[in-house]
Amino acid sequence: MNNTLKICHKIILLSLLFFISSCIDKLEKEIDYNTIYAGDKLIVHGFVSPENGVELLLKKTLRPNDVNGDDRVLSDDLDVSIQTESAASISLQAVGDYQYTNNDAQIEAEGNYTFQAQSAQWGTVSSSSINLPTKTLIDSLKILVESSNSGYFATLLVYFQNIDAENAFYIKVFPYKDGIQKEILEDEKFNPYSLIYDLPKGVNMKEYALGRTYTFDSLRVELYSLSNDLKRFLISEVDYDESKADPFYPQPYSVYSNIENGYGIFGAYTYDTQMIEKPQ
Amino acid sequence: MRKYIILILFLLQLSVVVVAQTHTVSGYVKDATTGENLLFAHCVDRLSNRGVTSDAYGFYRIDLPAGQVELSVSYLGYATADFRFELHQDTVIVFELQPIQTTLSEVVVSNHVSAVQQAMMGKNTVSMEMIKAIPSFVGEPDLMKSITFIPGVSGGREGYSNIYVRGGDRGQNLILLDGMKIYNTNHVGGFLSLFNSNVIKHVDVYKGGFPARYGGRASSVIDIYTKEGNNKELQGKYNIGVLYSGFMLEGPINEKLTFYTAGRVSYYDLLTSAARRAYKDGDGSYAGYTFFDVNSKLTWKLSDTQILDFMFFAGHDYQNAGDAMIGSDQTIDDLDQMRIHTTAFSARHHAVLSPSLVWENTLSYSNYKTSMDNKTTAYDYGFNRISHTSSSSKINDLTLRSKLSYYPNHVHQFKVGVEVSGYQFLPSIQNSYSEFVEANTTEERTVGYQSDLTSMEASLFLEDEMDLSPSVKLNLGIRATAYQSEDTSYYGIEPRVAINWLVSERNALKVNYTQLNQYNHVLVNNVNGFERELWLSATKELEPQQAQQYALGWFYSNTSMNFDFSVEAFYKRMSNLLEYQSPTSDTYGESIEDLVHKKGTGEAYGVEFQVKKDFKPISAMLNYTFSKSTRQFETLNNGKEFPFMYDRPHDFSLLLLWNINDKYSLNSNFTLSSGTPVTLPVGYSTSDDYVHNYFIYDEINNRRLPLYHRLDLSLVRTTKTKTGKQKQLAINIFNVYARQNPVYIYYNSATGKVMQKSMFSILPTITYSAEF
Repeated sequence: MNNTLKICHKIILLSLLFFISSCIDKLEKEIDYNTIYAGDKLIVHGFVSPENGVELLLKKTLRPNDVNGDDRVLSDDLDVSIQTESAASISLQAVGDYQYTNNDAQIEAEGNYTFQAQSAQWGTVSSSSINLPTKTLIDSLKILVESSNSGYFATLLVYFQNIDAENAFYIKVFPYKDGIQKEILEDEKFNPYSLIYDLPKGVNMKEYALGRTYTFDSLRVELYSLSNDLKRFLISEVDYDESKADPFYPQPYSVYSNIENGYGIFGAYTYDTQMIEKPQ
Repeated sequence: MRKYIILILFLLQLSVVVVAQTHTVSGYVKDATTGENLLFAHCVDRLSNRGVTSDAYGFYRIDLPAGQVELSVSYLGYATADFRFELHQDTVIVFELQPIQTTLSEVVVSNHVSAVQQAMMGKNTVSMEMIKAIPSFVGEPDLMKSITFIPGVSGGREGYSNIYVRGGDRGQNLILLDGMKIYNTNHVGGFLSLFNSNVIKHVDVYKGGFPARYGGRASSVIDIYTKEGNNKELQGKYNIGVLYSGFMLEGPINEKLTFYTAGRVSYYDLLTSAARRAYKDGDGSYAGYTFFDVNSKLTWKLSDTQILDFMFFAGHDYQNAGDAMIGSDQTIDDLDQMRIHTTAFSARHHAVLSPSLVWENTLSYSNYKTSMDNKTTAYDYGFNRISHTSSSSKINDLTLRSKLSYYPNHVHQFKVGVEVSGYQFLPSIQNSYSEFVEANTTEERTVGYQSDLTSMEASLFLEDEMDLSPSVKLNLGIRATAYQSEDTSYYGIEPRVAINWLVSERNALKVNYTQLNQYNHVLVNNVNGFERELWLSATKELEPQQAQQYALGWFYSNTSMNFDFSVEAFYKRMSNLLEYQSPTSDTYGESIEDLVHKKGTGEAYGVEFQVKKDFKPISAMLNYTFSKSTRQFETLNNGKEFPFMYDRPHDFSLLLLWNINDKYSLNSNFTLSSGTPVTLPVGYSTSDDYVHNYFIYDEINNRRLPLYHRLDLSLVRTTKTKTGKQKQLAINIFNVYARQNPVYIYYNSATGKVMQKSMFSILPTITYSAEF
């Protein structure tokens, strides 16, 4: 019996050794693969808001295997504008290689806006008509502070009234020290993972974590209300990331676009702002 | 309906003409050493050339002309027994066959039941010997992977034990284990089959031309029969493998009662026990996985004509991962758990009421349940948070099946029966709870089905297997179904026709037509690489799936040359298919009915070739399938047709089995097939001030993975102890030349290079098994 057990033990160990050794082989490699490309299309990433006017950039698609290529549009005859229901269209001018703007543009609350670009090369590229969202006001703010061995840490609580379960929100926080705003580095306009949505109607509270780097004596808090298209775009970015991270996801999730004959997003937002002092 | 009745009456009338004065020989076919009944043994009278196959309990019944009879009884792995006698009256004979060492040539080219003679086309029998002979993935014989050797059956992803038959979905396979419906076939998310090879006796796989007694699924039937217990002596077997070990014990309880019980258990968790202890002490992390399965059967031979058996089956998978950390500012305890339970039991009664009348009743219960759970408690820089999320899904199935087999003469074999199933579903429920202690806030949410759904399915079937003449066999059947779910009812008529025309002794042409309804849907949910199946009933919104299949085949068999060849062409049309997209952030909380793409259609067609040749001592089996399978949904891919996820236009395999001598055999398997479809981007958007970079997609499954090919080898040493017990040591090498077959490919967003990810390189394993 002892001999049998010893044999069993050896077989298991040997088998596991074989098994583990074969699993540590490098199983990822670069391959030659014939790339398909749908052809050059315009990409629009832009927003309108009563507070910041028009923020918009244009670029073109790249081949999937040429991710570091030149994506500037470089069309002299490109006519870019924002169409409005109530007023004349807003013509946008290029600033640099990508940005298009019009400093005189007046974006009215609760208006409808449509992006449009035209040229011989790109044809007509347009967005769906977007509604400027209703501004949601901040009811109150509260800061919870805890001391710890390595400094103090805080959580900001933002209270507001949600009137529609379909609404989407976003919170930005700017710390001030001695009356001067501290610089905040942002990789993108709205981080899709911080989008706030799917909230019940009524009074809501959302927390905002303030790390140890937040040495401040006051905070300026901005509560953004986002248009429905912009909400869908940000949600789709998260789903895209998740499907990309999981190779066994049934199908890759496409990033939402409301641009016809092109790709990207033309969205709208508005925001309310309040200051709060750090509790002593 | 009237047309079918007229056709049946015509065929009955025809049969009267060909019936002559005969007597009946009936009885059981048994193993001489264990007393076990041999199911599906072949009995043929060499003089009249009439043949029958014993049923699932080893009972046979054959009508032969009065006078001299030369009855030959054969079964794979047993010496063929010949009996000569004068037949003057109805006679009962129990045949006892002596087991012999199975040669691998018999495994590949079995001369006992020629494919030419079988009425059924699209039916493939997989013997246990075949399952054992094929070089396997982790050294253990795997039923589901062996089935993928059948032309027209695809195994999906590399390493997985899923089955896709003739372009059908994996949820369209009816899997029966001793009559019990099994809703999950896998351990470890699909890498291992749930079925223990130590107890499997016989497997029938129907790709098309299903007899009317089968129903409820749209693509295939996998009918698995397990052994009976030895009724002569107590004996057992154990096996030791890389991932798990198993045992089997069988024997008599008394003269009439036998049993077997078998189990397998994994031991990966032994490796993680130290890490688990560290986690429990509050500081450490671990990832564990355990699975086990149990098969038990009690066979009670009530009399010479009645058998009662009870079967129990359970499979359990438990994945768990913990992460704990204790610090001055942070304390975290995070525990993830996933459980998959498959449980089934049945009671069956087989009664030979007379040599012409056999009655079988089965009562079975089957349950499949999955659950996931996450608990996190965290103290994070002064703030305490607690969260708990859980989700679960289940199906319960209680089925009563009663079948009467009536053999009025040697021309007809009638089978008539009824099957009633009650289902209880909980497709999906998700609960979440979070608490922020310092803010005094809690959030609770439940999405999905708040209560169970119930439905009922009733079927009535009539089947007649006819020997219209020595050269024409016909299997004609009809199945009427009714389904009642909570909000609607459905009814269906499913005609089945299979014709075998023996053109010559060696050539047969076969044709069949099958129509099927599938009322229970399955959706595959992907969770971190593990696929979970969610079952749900047909509703007003989710109509039953339907399939129609036509097949035509030519079969050639030359027994003197040990050569078999077959070619089958099929066309299959499916409707009301579903395509499930796992819930996303955008769709979280929506009902499953809203998440699935409905009313899809599918089309599959192809040609399947199979060549078997015994060169002695080497046997070869070559399979090649050319096929195409597509899907079309109004709400997917802009309504355009797209290739099915597991569509492989070309699929080739070559199995070579070499009996080196009495002790050693060397087996090889080479597979070559087209890559499966994959969705790749058609453009790219760089990062800018407003948005991160992303790839742009358009059509689904717009490209294919590179070619798939692999060679597996196994060297098996079989010896016997002085008492005749078998010992076997097997060295398996999966993927001998370490081909990195692609599981998926993607574009690297930093470089634009196309990267390929593989799952397995060369994988050598050793297994040892011994009888005692």
